[in-house]
Amino acid sequence: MLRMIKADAYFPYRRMFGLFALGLSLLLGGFFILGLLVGTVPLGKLFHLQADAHRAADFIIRLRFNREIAAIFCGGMLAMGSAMLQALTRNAMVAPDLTGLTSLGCLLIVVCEILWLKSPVMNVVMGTAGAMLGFILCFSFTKNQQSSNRLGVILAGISISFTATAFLQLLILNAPQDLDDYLHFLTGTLYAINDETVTLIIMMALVALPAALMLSKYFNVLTLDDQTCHSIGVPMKRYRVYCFMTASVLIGTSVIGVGNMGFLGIVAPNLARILVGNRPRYVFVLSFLVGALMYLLADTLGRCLISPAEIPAGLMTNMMSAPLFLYILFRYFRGQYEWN
Amino acid sequence: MSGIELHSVTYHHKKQALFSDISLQIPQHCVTCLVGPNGSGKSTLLKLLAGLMLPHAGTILLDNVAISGYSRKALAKKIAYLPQQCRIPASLTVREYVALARFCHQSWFGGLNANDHAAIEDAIRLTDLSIHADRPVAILSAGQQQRARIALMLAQQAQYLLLDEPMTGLDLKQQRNMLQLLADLQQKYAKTIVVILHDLHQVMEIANEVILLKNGIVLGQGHPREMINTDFLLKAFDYECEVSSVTGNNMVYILPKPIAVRHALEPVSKA
Repeated sequence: MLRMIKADAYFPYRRMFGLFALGLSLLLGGFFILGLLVGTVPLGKLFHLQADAHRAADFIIRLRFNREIAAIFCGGMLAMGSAMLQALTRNAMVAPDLTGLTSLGCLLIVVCEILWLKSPVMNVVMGTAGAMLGFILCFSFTKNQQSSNRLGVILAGISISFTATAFLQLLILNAPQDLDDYLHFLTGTLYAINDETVTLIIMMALVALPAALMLSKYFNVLTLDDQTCHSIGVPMKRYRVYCFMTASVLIGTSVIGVGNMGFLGIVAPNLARILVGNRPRYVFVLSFLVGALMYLLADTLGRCLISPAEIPAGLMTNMMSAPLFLYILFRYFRGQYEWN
Repeated sequence: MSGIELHSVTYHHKKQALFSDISLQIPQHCVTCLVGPNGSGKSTLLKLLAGLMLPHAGTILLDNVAISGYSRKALAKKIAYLPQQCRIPASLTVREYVALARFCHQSWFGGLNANDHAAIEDAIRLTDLSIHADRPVAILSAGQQQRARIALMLAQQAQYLLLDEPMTGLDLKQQRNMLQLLADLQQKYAKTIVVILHDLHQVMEIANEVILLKNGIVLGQGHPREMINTDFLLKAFDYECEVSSVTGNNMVYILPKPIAVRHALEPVSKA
């Protein structure tokens, strides 16, 4: 007699989404509070300052608070946008930096700042526009093939990414103004985050995150192939436009904090997929949490490790991501992880 | 007149005409088999019928309305299509996989309702997958996966079922079950079925109507007894076959001319 084997035997963790989400949120909260307390000036010392101690403490906490909020949202949005991108291209090895979305976003922001004006609103607009441009370029090069063409998107993306990064570096190195203003787009740091930018990032997140979750029903279907999607009644073109706009907003906004460092975008969704299997709604939420946690951790470590100097959070995440990515590959090649 | 009708349809691919000016009618509540050699345009025709591709000229009418006038969701409620190859998602169980077919019956929000669940369970039961319902599709055998695809298409609860070589990868018994299932769907549920089959015996067994295609031209359409005979098979496949009828039932035996072998059934010695 055939033994009845339930799916749980094959995907041991798939029913534990709630637990993972709760655990990651708690960790995120913990690191958030920890991050407020540590830094070049530990909070303990702040209270021993004599004159204006209160105001100084307030100021420093506010600074750190902004940075951490920005880290959480930028990291999370990048990871979630990247999870969407991967689902859209049906390719788990695609990331916003590999496909040139982040570099085009950075490039447009820097061009706008140098040539025109410098404001957080323009940064968000330009970042999103850059990500959209990247999407359009990537998909137009691979238009005649199936969207499931795995290599095409990456190869087109890499060329776009290299070109955009080259222009970005050229611009930054020859920038008429202070080099520091733009350097953070190369390495991704939250040093320059201010109140206005944080508010803007949160506003964009409030728009894009629910939109992404609403679209997740479509992403469920997208785990099938194009023909089957068509025949079960999915208006692919229309939905693809919605998804591509949402993902552009997510990635374009995160560029402000993360810069051109998108390795996180390849690692976080894959970790989420290892945890709950390729079920878009859960993967999106967990990607956000994992991405947020990693970027927050990277920022906090970057502030503390060699203080008073700083390691940019983007560099820090790339250092942290590499071993995690090797772990993902290790699982994949041992047949313990299927990413499609 | 309900059913699917093609009126002087032209379709070309990479500037090469596949169909030029063909007209056809798929009768309602029948099993129609598309028969023809490889590359004769059977799959393309099926995709045109399914609305996956639009013709470059001419119209395809589905229940008297042009197929291009339907929204994707409305079309999916009427026509279900089984492609030749599909991608199997790695982390879905059979039940979750089949549930995806309910997309066209769902709204933006809201999950699966009682109707959806009933349709899913029916589809799983009809394709004999009940014991596998909670296992991942990806670990099933090729034949079981094929049945899961058919379940996916049944769960769509469409009136028209278009199947592109559904027998691929099925063993003898499963092929018989599949034939039975198709026959049941037509008789009990009054579905309209268009199916591409390569086994002419199966065609004879199940078809109410046969459409013989070659190089994008309809050689003939009609009752299987009229279409599957030596003349038409020679025309369509360029190969001589002997078709002998069996008295008493609808069956015929089709015996292709034996291939030219000098020493049949004897291994070639390597001298």
